[in-house]
Amino acid sequence: MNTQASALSIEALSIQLKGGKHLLDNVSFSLQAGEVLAVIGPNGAGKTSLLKVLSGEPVSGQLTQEGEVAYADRLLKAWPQDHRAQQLAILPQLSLLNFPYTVEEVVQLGRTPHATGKQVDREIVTSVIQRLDLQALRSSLYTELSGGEKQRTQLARTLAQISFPEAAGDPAQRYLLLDEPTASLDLGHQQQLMQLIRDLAEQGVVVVMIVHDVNLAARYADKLLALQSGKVLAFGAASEVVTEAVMQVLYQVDVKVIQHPETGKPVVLGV
Amino acid sequence: MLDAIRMRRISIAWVYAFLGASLFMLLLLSVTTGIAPIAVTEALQALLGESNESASLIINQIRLPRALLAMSVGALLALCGAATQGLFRNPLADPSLIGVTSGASLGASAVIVMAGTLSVSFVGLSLVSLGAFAGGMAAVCLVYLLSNSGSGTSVATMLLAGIGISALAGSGTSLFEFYADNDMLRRISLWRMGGLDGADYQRLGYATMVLLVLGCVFPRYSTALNALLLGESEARHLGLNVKRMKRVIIVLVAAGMGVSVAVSGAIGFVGLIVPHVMRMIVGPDHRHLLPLSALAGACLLVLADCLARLLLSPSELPVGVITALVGAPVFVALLRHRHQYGMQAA
Repeated sequence: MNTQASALSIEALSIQLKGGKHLLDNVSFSLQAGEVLAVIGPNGAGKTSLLKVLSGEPVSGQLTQEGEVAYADRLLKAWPQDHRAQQLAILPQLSLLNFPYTVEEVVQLGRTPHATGKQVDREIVTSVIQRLDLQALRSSLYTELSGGEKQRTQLARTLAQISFPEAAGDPAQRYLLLDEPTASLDLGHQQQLMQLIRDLAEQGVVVVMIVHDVNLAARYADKLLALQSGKVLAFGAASEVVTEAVMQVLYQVDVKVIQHPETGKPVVLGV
Repeated sequence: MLDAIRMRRISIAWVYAFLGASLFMLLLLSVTTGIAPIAVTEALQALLGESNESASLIINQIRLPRALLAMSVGALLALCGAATQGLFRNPLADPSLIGVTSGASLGASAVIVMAGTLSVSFVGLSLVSLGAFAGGMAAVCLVYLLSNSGSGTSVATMLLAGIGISALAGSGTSLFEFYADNDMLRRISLWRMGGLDGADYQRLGYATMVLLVLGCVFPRYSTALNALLLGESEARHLGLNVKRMKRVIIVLVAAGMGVSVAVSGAIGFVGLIVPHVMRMIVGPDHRHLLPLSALAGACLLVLADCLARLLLSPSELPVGVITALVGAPVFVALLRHRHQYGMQAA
């Protein structure tokens, strides 16, 4: 695989609503294989809309969509849904599953797009459950889980979707889109999830995630994208995006940015 | 028992075996009991064509088609119910939500009031049955059109459109009832309670044919329905063609419900309760839920029809009364324990 070509590129993406308002306004950026992008920004900045466009979903109330989304050298619209599902997994912000599946069954559903056989599926499901610390909940009913446990179960499902059998060798480029994956997780599970995302990136997975916690984003993402009213305010490494000036414009608050003594990454302190 | 259900892993094979055996026993019960009881051995001989004239006639011409019709219609209703609950992602959805039943009521009462005395039949179905079928189909088409927009079918809109069209059809039915005389009123309300007394091989043929189609097509959609329970966009992200799947399921449910109301009137409750109860026992996996619901629906309706014929023998109760009478207490009992199966109130 040519690592120089970008694995995901967005070119002049704009979405206009019926009222004339721009949800996204001329957004462009690109990511290499194995990069983790954290999208930050205030509520209503267009973060979730961006993720929707990346996943090929229509944005409700949209009038026009301009610009191009390309995965590797393939345009999103030219990528058939069933093929896409084998390489691209999405974790929505909120999942309304009202049926008493067990945790294991939900994770198993992630294997729907693949025809790798029961044996392989079982191995993948077992390993994903282990990685997300869900062994104890394996046969619990999804409907009885706490918010954080549901979140981890859904995450495990998306991981199972883009996992591949170990014997299969070099897999195709894989993508993971996450809408606030840490929202209902405790501190320990947040760290664990971020570490997991780093491991995936090591394997070449491209991760795009919406994160509200700027420090978490700065610590674990390779690139940050600050969105404000649909426009790109800043894009780049943590040191370029997480600055006092950008935070002031983005969130309208005065903060202090210091350097983490060990990681060297910027850390935002509320004042 | 409750603990076993809670764990949901009582071997599913046993559930298949139990329901299969029950269905066989109930069918046997259905052909042997009635105003003229027939011994089991004699009944089996009659079925094999080696019995005396009268027993053979009663069994082969009256009781067997009726028992088999009860089986097919029960299976159809439960299968449609299971698919509807999956499609609407709501464990308490009922196949009549898409407007079939109320449309069929309107069609049937229109025929009874306007052409009540005509006893014409066409392709083996009475005018009332045809009216019910036409009314049911018209209602579904309306509901479907209303819930369709440029971006596809919205099941939420469909639910609301179903309520609206059902209300409209209901008031149409009331209007016909207003102009009906006493005899017509009685026929309308009896039709609404459902009954299998018109059973013959022709009706059985229609029901079996549709059941076979549903039985062949629905299993292809079981893994898709499983994924659909996660949500529509989640199912799309798993690579499923949700649009086409919704269309196929709606058409099949409409056909299944349409043919059941045409051959046996409006039999309520089976489509709601059977899949719901089966889900509590074997879980929401449609690969088992669909066939097991069909089996259990068949059992319930054969049983209900036996009771309908026996309880007030020699007169007959409408079978729809019995299904609710048998089903409701079970349903309520299960609802009271629903937390133990992880079923949330929808």
